[in-house]
Amino acid sequence: MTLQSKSGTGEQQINSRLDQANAALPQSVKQDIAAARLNAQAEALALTKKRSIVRNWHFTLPATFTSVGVALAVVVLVSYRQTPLIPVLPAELLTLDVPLVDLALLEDLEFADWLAEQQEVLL
Amino acid sequence: MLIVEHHSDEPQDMDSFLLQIEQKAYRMALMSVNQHADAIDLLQDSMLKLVVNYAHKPPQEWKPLFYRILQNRIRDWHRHQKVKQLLFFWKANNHPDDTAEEWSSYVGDARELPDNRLDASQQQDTALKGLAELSEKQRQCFLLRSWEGMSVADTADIMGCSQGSVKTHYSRAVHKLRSVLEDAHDITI
Repeated sequence: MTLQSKSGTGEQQINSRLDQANAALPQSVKQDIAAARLNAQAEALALTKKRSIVRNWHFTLPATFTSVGVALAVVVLVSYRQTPLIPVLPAELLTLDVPLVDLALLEDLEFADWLAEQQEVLL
Repeated sequence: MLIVEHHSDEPQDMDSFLLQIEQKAYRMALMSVNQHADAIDLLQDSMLKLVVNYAHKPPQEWKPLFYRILQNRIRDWHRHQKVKQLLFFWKANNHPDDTAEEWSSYVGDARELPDNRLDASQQQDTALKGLAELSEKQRQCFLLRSWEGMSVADTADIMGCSQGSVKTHYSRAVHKLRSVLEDAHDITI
């Protein structure tokens, strides 16, 4: 028997013993192994679903357009509300009587202004 | 880079692949960590990672990928144990899990065999004990090359070492196992 075939025989013995040992595993161990496989597959499925949901939520076109629109509306509304308002005229000023002397002086001033303009035109 | 050989008996779907590989993978993990619960955890983690990250790969690549994941997990487990022992050095090394068992305990009962098969069975048990006495690298190398039939290149990739190292580990493993068998049974192999 050659060295190669001799060592091959030894390896075969060990391999067959390992196979036998696996075949003779207690039922409880076999159940644990099967449970590990099923758990791994179930977890993988859940993880894959979760990832695909997140990916779809982030990258679908309608979702992107909606979120951009909402963001723009918020920006416009916020800036509109923050524009400085013109102060309201106090109510007392609207109801206050203007003295007649002031009105006469204003008319005289307007007449003098008109007269000066006419003289400039004639010259 | 994995060099993969295609075999016609390879499973084409993930379920069949995991079913086919689970017991051998469990045995390898159990030999390395010596604890049933930890071996099951390592097996489950490795399966999970394979299904999540590599299910889209061609089926002929699953086996080397799975064993690479498993070997990495086993390596991580050993590192974790070392750190744990350093941090909690005052605690006993005994595992608290009462169900912990020696990996070699799951073997058939030799007393049930007829006389002509008893010797062969005893030799095989000796060989298994010899396998347990190998270094981690030698055992991994032997199991992957001989039991799982992986190529030298795939084994090197799985173990994260050169092809030369794989050949050396394998040769030493075979040599040790042969000497164990010869010493125990006074035979020449």
